[in-house]
Parts: sequence; structure tokens; C-alpha cells
Amino acid sequence: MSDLANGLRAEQHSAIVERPDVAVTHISARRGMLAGLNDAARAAFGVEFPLTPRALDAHGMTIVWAGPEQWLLIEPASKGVDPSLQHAKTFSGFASVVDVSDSRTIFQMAISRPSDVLVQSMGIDFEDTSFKPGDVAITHVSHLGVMVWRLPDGRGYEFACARTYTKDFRSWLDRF
Amino acid sequence: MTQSQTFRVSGLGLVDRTKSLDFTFDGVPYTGYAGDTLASALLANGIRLVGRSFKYHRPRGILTAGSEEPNALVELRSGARREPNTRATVAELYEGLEAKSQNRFPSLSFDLLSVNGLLSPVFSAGFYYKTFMWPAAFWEKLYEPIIRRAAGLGSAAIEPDPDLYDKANAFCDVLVIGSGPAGLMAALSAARAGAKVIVVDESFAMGGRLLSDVRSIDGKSGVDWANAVVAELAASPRVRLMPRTTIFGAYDSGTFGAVERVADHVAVPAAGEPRQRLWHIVAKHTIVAQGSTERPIVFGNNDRPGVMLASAVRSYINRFGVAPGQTAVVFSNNDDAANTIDDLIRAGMTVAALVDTRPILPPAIKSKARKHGIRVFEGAAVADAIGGQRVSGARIVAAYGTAQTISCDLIAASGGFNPNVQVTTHLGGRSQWQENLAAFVPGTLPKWMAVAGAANGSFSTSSCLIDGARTGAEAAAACGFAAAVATVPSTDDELTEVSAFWHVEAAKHKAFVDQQNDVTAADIRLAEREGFRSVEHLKRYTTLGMATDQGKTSNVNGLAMMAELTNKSIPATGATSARPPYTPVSLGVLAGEHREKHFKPTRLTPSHDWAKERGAVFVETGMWLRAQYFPKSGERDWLETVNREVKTVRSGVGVCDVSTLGKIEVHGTDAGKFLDRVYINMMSTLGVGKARYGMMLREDGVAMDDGTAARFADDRYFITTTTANAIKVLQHLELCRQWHWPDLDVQLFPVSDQWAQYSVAGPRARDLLAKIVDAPFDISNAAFPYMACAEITALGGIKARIYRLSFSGELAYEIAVPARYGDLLIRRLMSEGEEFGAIPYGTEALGVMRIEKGHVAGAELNGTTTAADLGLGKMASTKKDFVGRVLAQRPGLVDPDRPRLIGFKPIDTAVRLRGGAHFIGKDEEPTAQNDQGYMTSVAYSPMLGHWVGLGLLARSEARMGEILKAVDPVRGESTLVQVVPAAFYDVEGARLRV
Amino acid sequence: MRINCPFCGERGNDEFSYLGDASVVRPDASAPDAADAFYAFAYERRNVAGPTQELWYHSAGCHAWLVVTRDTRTHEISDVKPAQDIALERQNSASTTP
Repeated sequence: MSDLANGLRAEQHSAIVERPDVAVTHISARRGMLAGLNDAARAAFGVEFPLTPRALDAHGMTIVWAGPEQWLLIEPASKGVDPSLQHAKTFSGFASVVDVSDSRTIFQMAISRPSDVLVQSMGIDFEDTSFKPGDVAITHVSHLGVMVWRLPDGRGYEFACARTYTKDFRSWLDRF
Repeated sequence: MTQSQTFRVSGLGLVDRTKSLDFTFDGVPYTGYAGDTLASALLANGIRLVGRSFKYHRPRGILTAGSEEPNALVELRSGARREPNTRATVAELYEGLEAKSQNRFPSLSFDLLSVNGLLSPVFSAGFYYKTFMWPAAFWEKLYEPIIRRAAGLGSAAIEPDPDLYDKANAFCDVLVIGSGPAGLMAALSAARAGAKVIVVDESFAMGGRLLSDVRSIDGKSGVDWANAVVAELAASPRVRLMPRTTIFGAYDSGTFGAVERVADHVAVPAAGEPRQRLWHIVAKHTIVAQGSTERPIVFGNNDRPGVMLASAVRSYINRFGVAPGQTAVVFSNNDDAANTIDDLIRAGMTVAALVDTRPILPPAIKSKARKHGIRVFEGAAVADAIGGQRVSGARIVAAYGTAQTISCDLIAASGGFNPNVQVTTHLGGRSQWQENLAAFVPGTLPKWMAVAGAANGSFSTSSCLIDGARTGAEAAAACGFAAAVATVPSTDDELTEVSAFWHVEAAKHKAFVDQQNDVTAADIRLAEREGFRSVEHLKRYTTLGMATDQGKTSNVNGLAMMAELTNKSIPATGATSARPPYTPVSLGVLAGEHREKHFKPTRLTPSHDWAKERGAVFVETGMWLRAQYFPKSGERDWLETVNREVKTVRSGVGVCDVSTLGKIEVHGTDAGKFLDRVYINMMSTLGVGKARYGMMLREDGVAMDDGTAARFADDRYFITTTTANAIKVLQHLELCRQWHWPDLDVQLFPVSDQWAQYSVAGPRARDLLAKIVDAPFDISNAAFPYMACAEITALGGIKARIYRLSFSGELAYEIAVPARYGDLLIRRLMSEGEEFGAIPYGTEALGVMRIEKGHVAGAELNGTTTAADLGLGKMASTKKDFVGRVLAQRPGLVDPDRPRLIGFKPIDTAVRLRGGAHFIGKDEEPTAQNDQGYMTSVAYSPMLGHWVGLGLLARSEARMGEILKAVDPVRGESTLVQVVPAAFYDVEGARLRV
Repeated sequence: MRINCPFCGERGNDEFSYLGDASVVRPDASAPDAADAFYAFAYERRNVAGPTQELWYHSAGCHAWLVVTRDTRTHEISDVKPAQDIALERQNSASTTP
């Protein structure tokens, strides 16, 4: 490994932080209700839900595609507020809504370009031209399920792994 | 005392003479240079004898200069890093390298086991099958240990591997395998078109044969041209050059396995750096440019140190600046090898003779030989090498049969070239025989693969360059890059004619076809006589082509000799095909970081840190690490601890982390209808605020999983699965939702990790929970009866869920909070529970209590039992279709003789029961015919003061009170047991409804 | 082998779980021949040398069930569709057939 790469890795490592206080709501469209759901989303957030593996910033949240007609709404948590209740009201009849704030741990990696950690470690082509800002992938790494998305504003990347695997995933990140 | 490199030729070679490297071979110190392989450094120091052969312990030297080497296998490094069977020809020299020869006893030059050579009739083809047949007991005790000592390939390290291994992925438009003239030209052509290119080469230097042969390209030396191309490629951000990397296998859809030897060329990898890295390369298009491998000719004593492939001789001279001898005889059937005389003379060696099997040599070669005063033998052959531990002469048999011996210490031999087609056959492609080349060339290829240069039978440098330019441009175009074929540089032309020749009939000595496996020409003849004529039989009967080199230098010779013996053409005899790996791959790199505790990921429960502080003993259950029991100081063993935990729960209150249960939210307007179809019982009729035990079957009628369904709203259920089946059940439900009943409005959310969930069980459970749940929620029996559920808050405003469920048979609740509050909740349960004597209990006490209650778990839900077998047949609704319903009614599954769940207790209550024991009639012999079922679960019941068991027994209901033998053949135990109901404690269930 | 998930894009087969033949359809449990039909559904499979339709699950990805058309001789995949779309088509055509 070249000195350059070692330096880059050290820099990345210090830049990977857990996002401690986020509220995450999982939204899944009811059968045949996508159009109505998107109308409601436009009215509430000013955007439609992405139908492909994309993430977008809207209304103070990041909306992350999470499977066919499913999304995660990620927003800052504030004490005593359960945003999933509001979302359930907003999308009532159009989507099923579940609070999954504690299901995953979200790691943020503040780098502008894909790094060795990303490029080499997952079965996804992370090169700049292939995995663009706002792109999302649900995949696995080292036998752990992960979601990864490139922040829509290009500031970096976020990974989400199941909460009970956090320690293992962290140690996997730390081996670099 | 360091010896000088007497065979190093000044002015030749690409090694860095300013960087001297010290190494040892069999403990003797030597020096070499940076850029050497171990083989070239040994030859520079005049070392020819480097090992003993596998079966006959014959002295062996260095045959090749590449990864096809069958002979020069050494042990590299020592201690935990000792690595047997390393090919000296590819081991890159580094400072402090330690190497040892293999298969010699007691020393390399004097090997007692070389008498095996005298016993060769015993060791001939098929000797395993013939010699060591009888008596069978002798095999294990006598024959095998002797053979293992006599025949072997070095010894592996005993200590754990101290190095790191890594895995990585790469994606590209065009993968180029090999960096010789064809590969470099292909890469250049694709890269200039704009494609994303990866070039791999197994060597530490790029350039392939251009490093070993003297060529002129574009007015430069081949080496300079290669360096210029490599520099241009390296400068492109779209190109990744991967030296020291071997593609070991081609897989479907253009994926490849490769090993990068990151730190094999240093004594110890740098801190944090992996020794090797496993690459998974995904390429849209691939160009195989792996060149060719020279064939030996099969003649007498052709395995003696000093017999070397002609191309290897040129590598040692031109790339490493080493003269592999002083006086050479060149023995060939082709122009390429005959031209080796130029290189030998350039290295200052004497060429004693050029022996060619062809009746007439090309005039250019002949006149060149004459010019240098070299004796030329046309239509002749070297029949035998003379000499013991090294070659001292060649016995040449002329066309008209006369023989003469010429002194020499090197025989540069060549039987032509085999294109390296291996990777093109990994996906089932068949190589094709090409008569004019006397070689197999790639046949059918996947549409994303092309072959260029010598690997395709285009042997001359100019044809390599043309092939490379064309395939590179085509590959780029296939990936959507408009590519003009790059201008092909001019090159000097060389002759490449060959005339097939395999084996010298006039040999007097053993003539080796496969040097690694000691397979001789006589063995091939024997195989033919005994009817093992197909290539597959030939291989298995003689071991031809097996082991680390996979017959790279032997397969085609063996095949051609069999064709001659059977009077068939070569293509009618067979073809060569290969399976991965191309060259040996270490197990360490395949394992990567997945070793020891990283073999699989570990899931930790929300109470893990707390349980650790409490001194819990943990048990691995699947991926999970769960608290098994919580020993107190003074307790002698686990049983004492578990007995205490059970008794405390049954008399006071205990808390157990049950967060590992699979948890799925099932929402949608059709959620109830959907659950009716996946559970055997009705779930659509479940009231809001109620929970129900449910069982799911597989479509074949066998029980799949059990758990509870809780309904929080008309369109909102929450179901649990067993810990082990969480992923399987979700997959099954998704199949039902997406494939069987796509019209139902159902959404599934896996939420196993969302909730920390604790079972609070025991007569004081309500008292404890009353301090946890927020007012005004009422958990009294009247307000919140058995099987109720509710969404509440706890601990002052934390969202929570509470279920009145019991696995222990006691008054019990399960309370869940978002996982981040799991640690807080367990600590609060313990502190608030202090006044009631609350304790934590682990999976062991949980298991004891469920057996006391006769509840089924994994041991009973074992993939062979039906709901009826488990005593739950009446749960199945007859009013609806559900998965497994129809096939569960098959005669075999409703047979009254099927073993069904029942309880057992020992007649002698002091006796321990054993899980897995088989039930046999009291007076019957313990035979398979008399087997009537088996014990699935056992536990010591502290409430009853003896062991109790659950088991599956044929016609069980009718046999209540019967006494049987429970036979445990593993431990040699037989215990008398009585058939009793499958519930031992509080059979009426009064305790859980209070 | 790589499978082009219609939702996620092309991924390695390590992300997918294989179930089997997608040409068999879960029978009607109320039909008079249900016992035979379910037996065939659970156990009877053709052993095709050529293109087959198979159910794969994107277990490490988006959790979609997919119908993959794969040639068993070459492992070449010519088509991948969401299983749900095919199942809905199947239902629609069944309900419109008189």
C-alpha cells in the first residue's frame, strides 16, 4: 500500500461517524396507491418519492429508496416527538408507516470522492461516474446487510446496518 | 560465508545490480538481486539441485521460469509463515528469504528414499489400487503412513497464520489478463478508446515474454517498448495495473477470481497490510492474453537437474542475466527454441549441439549454427540425459540410429508451445486441436471473452501485437466506446514453425511425462494396456496432470502419447480442459478476514453490555450471542445456577432478554386475510389488542415455525418468529405476498432490531411491571388478561409495547421498548425489582421451564414434524386454505403410527435423561427395526427434582404409562423411562392466568 | 453469475437466494383434484436443458422476488422480471379468461 493510500485511509477512518439522533420512518405504498401517495408527498414535502434507488433531500429530511415502492425518511430526532405518527397521518390510506428509528445504525462518511474503503469492499461499482450523488444501494458486505447512499448534495456517504450488528460493522470499518 | 554469483552474466538482464539481497537455501547463505526470482538467484549461484521428486525421490532442478513449474517446489519462510510447495520460479526474491528443499531425507544430495526409484515396479501407475488392497486394516496403520512419509509435498505450518488477508471488488469495461505484447497492445487499444481497463499479470514485472526474449518493436527493444506502454497506461486514471495478480478462475457473467500477492515479496507484511488480497473482478469484456507454455520433450532422464525448457533458458539469460550452465545442447522441434542458440552465445556459453527432430532445419537457423561452429543434428533426438544429480551429457540418437554422447551441463529442450487456454475452458468451453501448430487453441468462448496472441496460437510478436490491437478495440467498442484500431508498431519477424514430436522411443532411462507426479512414458503405456485410454481415465489411473501444476507441462504430451498408442488422432483421443484455480490459491486468502471470531458476524442483544457486567455466561445461537445463565458466586456449576434461576422465576420474578425473536410488522387492508393464509389458525378473527399463538407450515405440510401474532389495529399486526427462522420466515412471507397472492394489500416490515424485548415472568411480575409502565395503564388481570397486548409508554414517556405472553407457564409479560432504551429498561427492571428479589435468567432456564410446560422449540420444530405430530393438529382451521394445508393431509403425514410428541420421566429418578436417545420396547433389542422414536429435549426439573424429557414416539397417546428403554448409543447408556403427558408442571395452566 | 435486478441493477449472485421453477403455480386448494395438484406443485419438476424460468429472491438487496430466465446449459440470463408483475398478469389473465 502506498503512503498516499495509507494517508487517505487514516483520513477516511477519522471521518466515519455514527449519526446518533435520527428518526427513521419506513414507508411502504399500499397496493395500487402510488399515485395518491405521491400526490400527498408533493403536497407535504414538495417532492415525489423516487421510484429508483435514489436519495433526495426534501423538507429537512433525506428520503432514501428502500426497495420497490418503499422509502426511509431520515430526519433529526427531537425529544418527545415521533415523526412517524405525523407521516402516518399524512399518508393515511396510501401507505403503511412504521417507526424504524432503532432498527439501524447510520454511519456517515464525510468525503467528496469514493474511497478505497468503498470502492474495494462492496460488490457495487462505487466509482464516481457509476455511483453518483443521490445513488442508493442495498447490498451486503462481509456477511452483513447494509444500505449505502451517496448524500444528494455530494458531501459524503451514509451506510446503514442493522442495529444489532453495529459492533461488528464498526470493527469491519476499523480494520482499515 | 556468502558465495559469489558465478553464473551471473555481466551486461545482461533486468535485475537491479545495485540492490543486493541476502537469502538462504537449506541454511546456506547466498546473494541475489532485486528483480530475481528465487530460481534465478539459485541458478546465479550455481545451484541446480533444488528438490526431490514426489514418488521416486529423484533429484530435481529447475525446469521452467514460470508458474507452470513442476519440480522446483520449496518451503518458503519458517515457523507460522512456513509455506510448502512454493514454486521457486515465481517466488520473488527478498532480503532475508529463507527457503528449504522438500521431500529429502536426510539431506537433499543424499536421499535414502531415492531407493523408491529402484522399487519403481511397485510405484507404477495404479499402484495405490493394486498394491495396498488387503488386508483393509493394513491401509490405515501401515501403508498410508509409509506412503505419506515417502511421497509428499512439503509440510504446512502448524501455528495459526499470523498474516491478514483481504477481499476487494473491482469493476471495469475491459479486463486484460496478461501483459505480454498482446495484452499490452490490447490494453493500450482499449484504454485509448476511453474504456475503463484493468490489466493483471502474475509476475511482479509487466511485459510478459518481452522481458525474456530479445525483440525489437517500433525501433526500440521489446523491454523499452513494454515500459513505455506500461507508463502510458499507468498515467491514465481509467486504467488499473495489477502486477503480482493471478486470475485463478473465470465465472459466469464476466466475473473473475484473482489473488493479488500484496506482500509475498517481503519477509513480513507492513503493519495493517494484507499478505494477499482476494479480488472479485467484474468485467464487461475480457481479453485473455496469457501467452503459452512450452512443452518438454519426453526422453530418458529428462527430469535431471540441467534439463530446462528452452524458453526458460532465455528467461534466465535475458531477464535475469544468469547463465543456467556452461555448455548447452539445444533439443527442439521448432524454430523458436532453435533460435535459443543466439541467447546462449550472448551469455557466453558454449553450444555443443543443436539437435532438432525435424529432418531439415530452416536455412537461416542452420547457417547461424554453422557460423558459430555449433554441431547440428537434423532429424535426431536426445534420447537420454547423462548424469546423476546434474546433467553431464546428452546421448544423441541420429536419424539413422547411431548414438553418440556429447558433454554438456544444460539441455535446453522444447517440444513446442501450448497456448494457455485454461481460463477459456473454465466455463465449459472446449479447446480445439490445431494441427499446424501441434497445439490446442481456445474453442467456443463466452461472447464477452476474446483471446489474443500466443494464448490464441498467434505465436510471433507481430501477430501478438496485431491480435492485441484488434481485440482491444473490439472490446472497447462492445462496451460502447468508439474505437479506431490502434496503429500496430513494426517488429522484427521471427520464425515460429513447429513439427509435432512428443517422445523419444530410443530412451534407455525413465522418461518423465509428468515430472510433478512422477508419471513416466511406461506408465502411459501401462494405462493403455490395462484399458484406461480416455483422458479422464488416464489422469485418474496415472495421476497425470494432478497436483499443484495441474499438468501445464504434461497434459498434452500424455494425451499425444495415448493417441499414438491407440492409433487415434489427438482430437479423437480427447481435449484438455481446466477447472479453477489456474495456479494454487492459499486457503488464507479465500477466508479473508472471516476467521476465528470473524468467521461470521455476531449480533448482540440490547442488554449485552449489562449482561456482561453481571457476569453472564454467553452462548452462540445462530449469529446471536445470548446470555445462557447468570452465575452467582459460590455456585458450583451451571446446573446449580439454572436451578436457582428457575425456582426464583416460579416463586418470585425473573427477567429474560427475548429480543432475538424475529419481529415483522404486517400491515395493509388485507393483513388479516394474508395471515390466515400463512398460519394454520385464524388470525383475521383476532381482536384488536389481542395476541394469539400461531403455527406456519411449509407447503409440504411440515411445520416451519411458530410464534405469536398481535393485532394493534384493523390493518396492523405484529408477528414474531423463532430466533433461528427470522430471515427464512420473512423470505417465505415475501414469496406469499409477491408471488402467491399479489392482489392482497399487505406490506411487510422486518423490525427485529427495532425493539428490545424482555420477558418478565413469575408471580411478582405484575408488581414489578406496575413500577415500569406509565400510569394510567392498568395491567391488572381484569384490564389486561392473558394474551392481551397494547401500545403504551413506560419509564416516563418512552414508547413501549406490552404483551401478556408466557413461555414459562408463570404469570408473565413481554415488554418492548425501542432498542436504544433496551439497556435503560433492563437496568430499571433490575433496580425496581430488587424489592421482589428479581433476577435475570438466561436461555438455559428459559429452556428448562418450557420443557416443564411441554412447549415445543427448535428440537421439536426440526423440519420433520407436522402440527399434528406436535400435538397442535387441532389448531388448524378447516374453514380456509393455508400454506401446507392440503399436503399435511397426505396419508403418510396423518398415519397414526407417526411418532408424536409426548413426555417422559425416568423410572429411577436419580438418572439423567439424554437428548437424542432412541425409544426401544422394554424387552427388545436396541436395533433400527425396534426403534420407536427419540427424545428431542431433556432438562433437569428443579420443581420436580428429577430429569424430564420430551420426545417423539410412535402411537404415543395410546401408550400413556408404558415403560420403555431410552437407548443412547453414543454414550452407551440405556435408561428405563415412563410415557407421561407432555406437561410436567402446572398442567392445568392455572398459574399464567392469575 | 450476475443477475440484473429490475430494481437495484446488476448484482453478484451472492446477493440472491434461489428457490426454483417459476412455471409452477400454487393450485386452488378447493378444487377436487387439489391433493394431486399440490403434490405436483411441491415435488414435480422438469429437468430442462435450455432456458428456464426460475424464482430468485434478492435477499441481500431489495427483498424482491424475481423471475429469472436462465439457460441451464450456459447460465446465460436473458430476462429478469419482478415476480409480482408476472403474478398479477397471471391473475388478470385468469380472471378475464371465460
